[in-house]
Amino acid sequence: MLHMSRLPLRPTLVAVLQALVAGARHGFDVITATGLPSGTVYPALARLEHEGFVESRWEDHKVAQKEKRPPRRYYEVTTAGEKILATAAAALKERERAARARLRAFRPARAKA
Amino acid sequence: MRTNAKAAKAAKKRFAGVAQAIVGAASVFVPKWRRNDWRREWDAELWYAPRGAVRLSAGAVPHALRLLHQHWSLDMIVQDIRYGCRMLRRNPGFAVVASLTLAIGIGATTAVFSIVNAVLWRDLPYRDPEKLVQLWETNPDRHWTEAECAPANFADWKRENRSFDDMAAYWGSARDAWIMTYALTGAGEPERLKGMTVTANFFSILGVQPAFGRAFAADEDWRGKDDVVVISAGLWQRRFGGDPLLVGRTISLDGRARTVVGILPASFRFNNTAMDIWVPMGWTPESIANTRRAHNLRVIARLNPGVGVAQAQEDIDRIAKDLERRYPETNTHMGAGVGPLQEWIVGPSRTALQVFLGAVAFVLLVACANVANLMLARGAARARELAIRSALGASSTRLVRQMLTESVLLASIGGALGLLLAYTAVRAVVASGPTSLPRLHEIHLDRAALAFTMIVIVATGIVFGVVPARLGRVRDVTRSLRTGVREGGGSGGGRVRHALVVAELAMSLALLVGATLLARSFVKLNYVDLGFVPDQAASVEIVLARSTYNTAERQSAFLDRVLERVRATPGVVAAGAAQRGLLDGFLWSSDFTVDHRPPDEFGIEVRHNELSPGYIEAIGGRILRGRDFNESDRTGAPRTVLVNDALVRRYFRNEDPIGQRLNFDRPGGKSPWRTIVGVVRDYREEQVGVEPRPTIYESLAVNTDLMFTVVLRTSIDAAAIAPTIRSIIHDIDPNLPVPAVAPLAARVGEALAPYRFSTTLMAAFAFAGVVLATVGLYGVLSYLASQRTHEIGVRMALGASGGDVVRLVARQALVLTAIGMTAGLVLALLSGRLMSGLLFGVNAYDLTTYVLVVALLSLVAMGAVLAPVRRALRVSPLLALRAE
Repeated sequence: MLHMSRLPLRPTLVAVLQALVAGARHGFDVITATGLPSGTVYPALARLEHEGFVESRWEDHKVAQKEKRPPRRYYEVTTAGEKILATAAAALKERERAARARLRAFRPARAKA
Repeated sequence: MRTNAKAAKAAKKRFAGVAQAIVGAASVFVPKWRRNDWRREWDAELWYAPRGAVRLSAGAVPHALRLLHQHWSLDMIVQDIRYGCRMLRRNPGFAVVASLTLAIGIGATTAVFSIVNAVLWRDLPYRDPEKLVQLWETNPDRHWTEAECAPANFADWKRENRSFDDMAAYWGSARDAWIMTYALTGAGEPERLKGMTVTANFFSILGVQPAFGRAFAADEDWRGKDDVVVISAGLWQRRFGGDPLLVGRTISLDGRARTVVGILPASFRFNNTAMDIWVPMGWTPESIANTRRAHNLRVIARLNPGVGVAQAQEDIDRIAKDLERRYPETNTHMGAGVGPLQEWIVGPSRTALQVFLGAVAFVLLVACANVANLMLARGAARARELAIRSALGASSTRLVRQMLTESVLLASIGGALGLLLAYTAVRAVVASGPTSLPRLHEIHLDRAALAFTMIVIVATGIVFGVVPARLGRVRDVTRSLRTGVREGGGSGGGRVRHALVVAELAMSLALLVGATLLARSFVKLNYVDLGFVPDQAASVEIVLARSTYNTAERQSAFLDRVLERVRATPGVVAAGAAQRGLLDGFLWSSDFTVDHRPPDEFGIEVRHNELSPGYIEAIGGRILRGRDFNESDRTGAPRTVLVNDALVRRYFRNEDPIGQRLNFDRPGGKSPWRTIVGVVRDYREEQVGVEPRPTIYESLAVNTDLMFTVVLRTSIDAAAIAPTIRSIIHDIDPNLPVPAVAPLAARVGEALAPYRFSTTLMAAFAFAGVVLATVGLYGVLSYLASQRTHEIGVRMALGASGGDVVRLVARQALVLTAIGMTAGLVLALLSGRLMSGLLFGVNAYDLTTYVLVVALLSLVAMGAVLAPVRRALRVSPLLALRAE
């Protein structure tokens, strides 16, 4: 629809970014946080990383070894990611504002009554 | 409690195994350089997953695919394309030849397949088309195999059958509808309309609904109720501005008011000729019941559910037998036939289209062979480059991807050109296609065909371009690098290449034979003795309005006036008129009896036409014996006829025909006697390709009609006199639509159009095939010669003469050419039977043609050999050896 302000990212990608901002650190966390299926979350992470909105690093090898578990890959939101998330949030707000404005313009009579 | 935990742990382990397997399988897709990393991430994820590891692992597959997708990223593809473009630019000869080959293959195949599919294979555009059938009459006595049906027989079939849901008829001529011409008068200039006369149920049988209004009602078949007309969308737009209120209004056709009851959808077509109007039969019960002798109806029907054609044939046979018994006078040996409507419409074009399809398949195969050859040669030439890139660390996948990109690049260029070619070709065929090709207006570019040929040809390119690169060359990097380009080809590739060239030569020889045979037929047709002289003559077809010219006197008075005025026109040498014009396709026919002969001796199926005095002179024919008609051959005078030489040869072998009497019936009939007063030299009235058949001519003044053709011979250019003739006719009757005045030569050209069409098409295919094969031969030979540069250098250094070198290179070419041509001859002979259906005056196994083609192809092959031989001769031993 033309009159809707466009989101800069797909909703699922926004959800994944939000989960990471909220404190999720790896794929499984994101699944838990968002409730999205794993077939959506992992490709989304790969895509966000490819586009530079997310960075990944490996957990310190030694720490993991000490605790007798495999090291994990941690994801973090980059500055670019934060920016785009802010833009997305603004776009959502703008949508809401526009929707209100249009509804008001459409039903002035009822508003008076 | 504890055991439970244990069981849960075991289960988790088992599921973990499944999950691991899924991740393992998915890892195949992950690009190599990040595969390890990816595996570790997933191992960890699964390890931490409390439960549902399998469900979690399902995400590994899209994840891996996503990474693969990112790996084959845009910049890498762009890089490949750029590199491919550079390679193509560096080798423009290869690029041009390869893309043109692709274009010709894709274009020609798509165009021909589009035509064949639209004409032969696609269902007719009517409701349940497979249930529609055509019916016809047969009579061995008259050599009728698919004759028109008599109205009384049609009525009996319709009443007594058990197989047909419904049966309709239209006035027919030959295999098509009889086109009636109507003058539309009233608002605006009078206009000639083409109309078809049909029974009321004609449209309902086809399942066609008018776009506006209705089709005919059942009782509108009968005289008195038949003042109605259904018009085409084309006429509605052209003449009435698309006015939807036209339905219910009356229009004047030939001075008779008819109510427009329906306007057909724009897509409706029944014949190739675009009709303007459809009018009902206007029968009376008597006129049907008593007409068993005149055969003028074409019959279509819709089969009952569950009834097949064979069953319908049995049914109609039964009725025909019964009619034979009831009406021996008219129906002796009169049989009936049923066949699918689609077959009826497209059957006559089948042979030609099949030949084209075969020919274009050859072109496609030649194109594929050529692409394969080019790719193989190129792969071999690039073996060194690939080896170097491989040694520098390019993975074999990357190299294959590069080759793939180049193949696709070439295919895109070739495909785009091919699409353009196919589109242009299809447009040209529809625009200029002969009217003998049915369903012409249904032809459009077939997307499935385009996709199919593209896939075939691109797959060929990929297989022959990529596979050698992957299998043969790259693996043995060191060997390739050590020995240089020379060894790159390998003997296996050489054998494939030879086979491909042989196949190309064989198929182009077969194509050339086909094209030459058609071209020779066409030349023969052009030089056939027509029996009349088309140059400096013109013909005008005139159709009078029924309402004004309702008596024979009025008709002949009009004709007399026209001829008188035309003859008085300066520049006109002679003029005459005939009921049926030249090369109109067919003449009416009947039996005839000669006076004083035994009762079992009568002529069958003799043709008829009616001529005015001076007609034979006007067309440039000749009276061989006796006299032409003259002014005294009129109604009331003793009846006279002319006969043609073919009739004399057949029926008056040892007698003088002049003065003999004959009538138009079997012995004992009521037809009056007529005296033969002259013999006309044979001329081709029906078709260019058909020998004149025995024909009887009556005086047009005795047997006038509403429709006739005036022919005038001129001392000046025939086209220049046309406006004068038109104004004369307009002068005599301003209400008559202005007729077209066409030079006779144009009529002959029109009659030859179908032959010209097939000859041109076939010649184009043969040309394409030969060009492709020549390129292939040239490519392979120069490749082989260049491969042997080293060998030639050594030989020359050791004292070989130039002649030795020529022999070395040429021998290979000769062997290949000889094998290819022999195979081609076999192929051509095998296709001869199919071809013979299209030929005129030339045998499909015509020796001259074969010799001509072999000579021509040898010459071409020689030309292809020349350049490589010259290059070999220029080899400098020093350079060749130093190149090591």
